[in-house]
Amino acid sequence: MITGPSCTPSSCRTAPQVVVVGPPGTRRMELLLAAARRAGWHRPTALPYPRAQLLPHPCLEGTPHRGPPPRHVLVRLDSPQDDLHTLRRLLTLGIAPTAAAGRTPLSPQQIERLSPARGELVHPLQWFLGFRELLQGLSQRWTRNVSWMSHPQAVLQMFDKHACRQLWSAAGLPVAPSPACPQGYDELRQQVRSPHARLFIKLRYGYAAAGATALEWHGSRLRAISTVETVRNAGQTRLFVSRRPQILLDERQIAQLIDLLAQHQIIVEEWLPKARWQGLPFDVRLVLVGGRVRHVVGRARASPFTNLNLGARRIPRDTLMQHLRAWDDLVSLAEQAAACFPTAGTLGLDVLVLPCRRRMVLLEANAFGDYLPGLLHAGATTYEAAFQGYLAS
Amino acid sequence: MFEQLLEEFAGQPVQDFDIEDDWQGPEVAYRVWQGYDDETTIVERLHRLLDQPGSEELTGLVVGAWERVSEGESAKAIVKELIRVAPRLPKLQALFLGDITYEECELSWLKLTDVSPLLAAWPKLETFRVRGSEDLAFSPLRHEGLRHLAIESGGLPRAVLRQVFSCELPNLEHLELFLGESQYGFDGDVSDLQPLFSGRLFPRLKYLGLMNSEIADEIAAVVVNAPIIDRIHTLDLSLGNLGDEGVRSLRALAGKKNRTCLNISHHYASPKELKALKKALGCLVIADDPQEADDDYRPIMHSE
Repeated sequence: MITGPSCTPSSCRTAPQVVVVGPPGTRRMELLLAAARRAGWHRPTALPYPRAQLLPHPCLEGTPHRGPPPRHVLVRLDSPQDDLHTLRRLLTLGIAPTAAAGRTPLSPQQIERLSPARGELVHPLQWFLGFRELLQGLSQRWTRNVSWMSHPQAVLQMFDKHACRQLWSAAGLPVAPSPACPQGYDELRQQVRSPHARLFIKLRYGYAAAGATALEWHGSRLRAISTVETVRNAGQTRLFVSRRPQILLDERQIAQLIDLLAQHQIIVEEWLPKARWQGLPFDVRLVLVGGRVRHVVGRARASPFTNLNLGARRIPRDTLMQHLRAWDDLVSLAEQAAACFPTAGTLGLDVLVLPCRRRMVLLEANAFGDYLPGLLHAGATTYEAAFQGYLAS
Repeated sequence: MFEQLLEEFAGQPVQDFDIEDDWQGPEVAYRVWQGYDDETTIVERLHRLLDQPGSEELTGLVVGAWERVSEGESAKAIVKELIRVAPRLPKLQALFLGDITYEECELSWLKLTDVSPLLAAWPKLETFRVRGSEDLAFSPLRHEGLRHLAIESGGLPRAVLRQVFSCELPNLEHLELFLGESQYGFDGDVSDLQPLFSGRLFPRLKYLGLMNSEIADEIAAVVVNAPIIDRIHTLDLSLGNLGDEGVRSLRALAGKKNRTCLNISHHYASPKELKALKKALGCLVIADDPQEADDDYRPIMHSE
């Protein structure tokens, strides 16, 4: 088990190269590379995941395998986003582990023919299991002269909401109660017997807003509010992230949705009420670098899914500091939560603030959750803080 | 669906009132509410608000989610409490009962109560808006102060319509009825609106809203020939399923002596018919938020 920061002071200061793994040419990548340059690294390289998967060492990109030993490299893993080539590679790597998990994977032929529409969630379980294969491969091969901004192990842990909950609970940190662990809708109803319930169902692997469904029943009344749309086409059901929350009132439809999500593994938490700011419920996203809180922003939105990608209003840090009644507790909680991932140099953290504005609950850790363009703290963007953080440590 | 809480009510900004620090003087319409599993009750917030210096000057009040609203608890208790404290808000002019988002509670799950005693507790109240229709009632009432009345619902029962039409509201100028659809409780038809169309009710009515209706076309066809049209300045058929048929009926407004403004926002009319309507009517036609029918399916705005 790795306990200290993976980048020691001496190796960082002498790291001559930065490699960012992710789809080149995207906005995220451009911002990351620019931030690395601004921090003093001269030629940061963008390395796509499919290419990375084949390299024995990250700085062998474009150089022959024989020759002088590889120089030291600082690797920043970032989001695969929705790059098609990467998606196909991840799904391919995920075929065997998905089958081993007892689920039907997309076949090589299906993967090859894949043409996902905008916002489509393609086999979330197979995606994650393939991503895990890839990252574990990198951590096994890229061992000499490599520093990780965030170690692949930490990244994978953060992608797994169940693992996060366990780590945090073991550390005595507050998480939303989880009243059930079902394989489907019927089992959920059996496990949660109370006549009135408000639950939040998320895909176990992946970002919360993609696939999150709020579920409420009272007596015979039932409703689900979901960010997922299902579309049946030629005997196949496809999943899409919807821009507007979908409301379902029909039990059969709701059961179908939950059963489908459960095939990719779900976690069920209590749908907790949130504190309001100017009449809107909000949660808090914090970015931590080197285990310390840097950027903080509130996300206010008139829906159960407060996520910046879906048009939430940002609440600036200063306003939050005044509005929350336990700011120091928030910072302390976030740093304790990050300490559970000691090899994560940077991470995004989502915290739910209860209506009393004093008590808080950890929602999720996001390995690539520092994509907050334009948000400054102490004059630096999140990416600049990440790279500067390494120079300082 | 009602996604957001009010930001403005009866000309004043709306602010949540939770603790003393939230008090910004009486020129604000405060919202009191109670969340799911809340540590503080709506009644506690209400009393805290009333304890603020100058609260007797308040002219606007917004009542949000009440205790256990999404568990089927009705507005009875909060209405009773409001009536009890009415003497402490002698200057109240505007009241909203039910500023509740769909996240807090599904619209059709809201349970109201008889609101006439509430109105009677404030004889000088000018504006009253209520959201929700299950168990909503208007027992016989004469109210001289009321100028603006609105009922927001996904399905308004004809019994409630009858009750509203039986109230004596001699100074009512603005009426909005969200009729909704049969699935959610609208069990009437256009004939239930006859007392209103006849023109013998509400002598001062100027703004008539028959909104969020799944029978918008039928309403349009009948209202254009009704006596009421000759005295109102605005006809609001927005948020419903108005289509080309209804829009064509509305062209008849062109022949009227009284110039009526028209709001048909959230509609299913074709650009062609809309253009013809605007050309025929000399007045303002508001037709924002055009919708596209899915085959024949034309959902109204608030249908839940």
